[in-house]
Amino acid sequence: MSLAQETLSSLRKKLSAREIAPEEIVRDLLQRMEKTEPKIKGYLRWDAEDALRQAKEADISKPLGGVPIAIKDNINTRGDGCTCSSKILEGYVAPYDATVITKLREAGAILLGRTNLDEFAMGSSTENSAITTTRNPWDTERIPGGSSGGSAAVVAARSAIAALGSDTGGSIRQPAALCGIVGLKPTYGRVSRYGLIAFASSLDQIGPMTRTVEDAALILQTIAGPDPRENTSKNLPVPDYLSLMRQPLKGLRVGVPKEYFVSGMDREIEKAVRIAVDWYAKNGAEVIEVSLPNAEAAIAVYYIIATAEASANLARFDGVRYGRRAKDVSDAIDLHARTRAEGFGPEVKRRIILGTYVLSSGYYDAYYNRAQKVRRLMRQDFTEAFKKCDVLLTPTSPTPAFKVGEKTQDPVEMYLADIFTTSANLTEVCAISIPCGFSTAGLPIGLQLMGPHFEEEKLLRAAWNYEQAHEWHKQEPKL
Amino acid sequence: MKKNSQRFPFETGSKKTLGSAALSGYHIHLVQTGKIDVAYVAQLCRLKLNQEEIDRFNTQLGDILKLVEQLQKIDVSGVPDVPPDFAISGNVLRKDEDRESFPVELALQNAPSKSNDLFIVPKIVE
Repeated sequence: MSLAQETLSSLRKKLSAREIAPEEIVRDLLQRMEKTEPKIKGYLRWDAEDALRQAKEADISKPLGGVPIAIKDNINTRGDGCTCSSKILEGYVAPYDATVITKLREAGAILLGRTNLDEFAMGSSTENSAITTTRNPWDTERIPGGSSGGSAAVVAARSAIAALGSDTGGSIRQPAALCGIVGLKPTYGRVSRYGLIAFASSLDQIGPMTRTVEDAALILQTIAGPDPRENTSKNLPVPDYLSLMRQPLKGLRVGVPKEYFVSGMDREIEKAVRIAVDWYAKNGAEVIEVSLPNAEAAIAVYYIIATAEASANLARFDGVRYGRRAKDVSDAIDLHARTRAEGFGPEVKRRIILGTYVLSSGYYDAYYNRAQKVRRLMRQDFTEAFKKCDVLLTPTSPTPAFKVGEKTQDPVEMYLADIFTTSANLTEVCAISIPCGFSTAGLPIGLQLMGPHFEEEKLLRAAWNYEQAHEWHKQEPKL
Repeated sequence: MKKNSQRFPFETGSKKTLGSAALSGYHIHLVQTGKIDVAYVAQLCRLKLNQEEIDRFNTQLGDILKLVEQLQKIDVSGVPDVPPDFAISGNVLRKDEDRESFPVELALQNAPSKSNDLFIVPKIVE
């Protein structure tokens, strides 16, 4: 067996026992990447020599010592590119480390490989990447989900042990579900975003993408916590996730929001998730039906707030301080307008236009202000629901992985892929997707658990107990 | 939200640079049709689009607006008319202390055009 097939926690045990050396893991991974990458295209680039150097220097006494981790290419790592899979950041070299990168380095992790994403994390399939479309390891005719599709695909393909992703409306959880892995979006404020290239600042979070719940807990333990450089990261202690997740299920109240089981959703997904609900009921948890009355509005609220914030955040790409610059321009306005026209892809342009529109005079009240009010109502719904239960259980995605090209002509169709995930970002709660089955076509199905603010341990406890009793996460795609 | 109208670019001195075509767009824009005047909005956000893109975005953004129109059905009366003051997302402030700043060389390393420790841009003032 290749070390590339092992989990982060099992590699850590072997490293600590001096059974293996970090270089062996790196070599096995590089070998695996050579085999899988031509089909998957999950990585944008990697530096084998640098990874081997890091492996030689790795301090295996540290919590993540000697284990390679892949990074989504919208997180700054000093001296390396950070393309956001956009032409506008061609040639850009990060001048500093994101806080999560500093923390991974301090924990002894090896940084190996930068993963593909939808341009500026805007999309649900990686088809909006200006560089390449990543393929789903379970069926290479299909997309891996997005926007962290590269991270999800390489973890599933066993060409990465674990990866970091970012989640603004489901970008960690939806690809995790579609690729059959674990994806955790922490509470807003739990993990510093310093160094993450911003998409929508009131929604963005960085989180782990792994093959097991324990691995997700290990990485969260490392990257969580306050950061003086990031004024939305909360000054709260980080609990011991690894021990708290092992608490038995008994007494845990699992809420099932009726609005998330809508007519027209994929039957196999509904069935798999219902079976999981029954499993919880039979294994010590208390299952309660709850209501989130404004759940239906989530996509509408999301596409107003996220695009509004994106239109402001992406104003910084103007051809002056970094990245691409249009040639032969007539004046400063022409420089901005042409640089942005050449540098941004269609989805990014669409969202900048929509975001500018919903913030513009005459439309602000009808769209942006109203969306903020509905967001507040959604948050009240979640507060009420969490009085009755500890976690909420829903499907992660309304369908399994779809085919490459199937939804690219219709943005609305693509946006609906996020129907179950955007609420967690809008209400700032934590959420995780874990594998809960396969469709008859052999495609992974994920279930989502959402938990109250800063109570990731509840999610991990619910997810870990389920995982212990199931084998879904042990299935490997044939490549 | 009266306050927001102050953010409108025409009131902050960019009228001249956009020209009269944009000004006529302004009047069209204010008609509440729920349809985006893409050519006009693209000027606001500094995106030079070709006609094919304008036509395509007009159709696609029309569909997206239909999707978000459902918000008009939700009763928001009584919900305060301010952005959410979520306790969770509130800012955490740090002490205002001296610390090392980003070195100029590093800040300029990605600049497409630079000279004498400065970013170079096309002439702005006539």
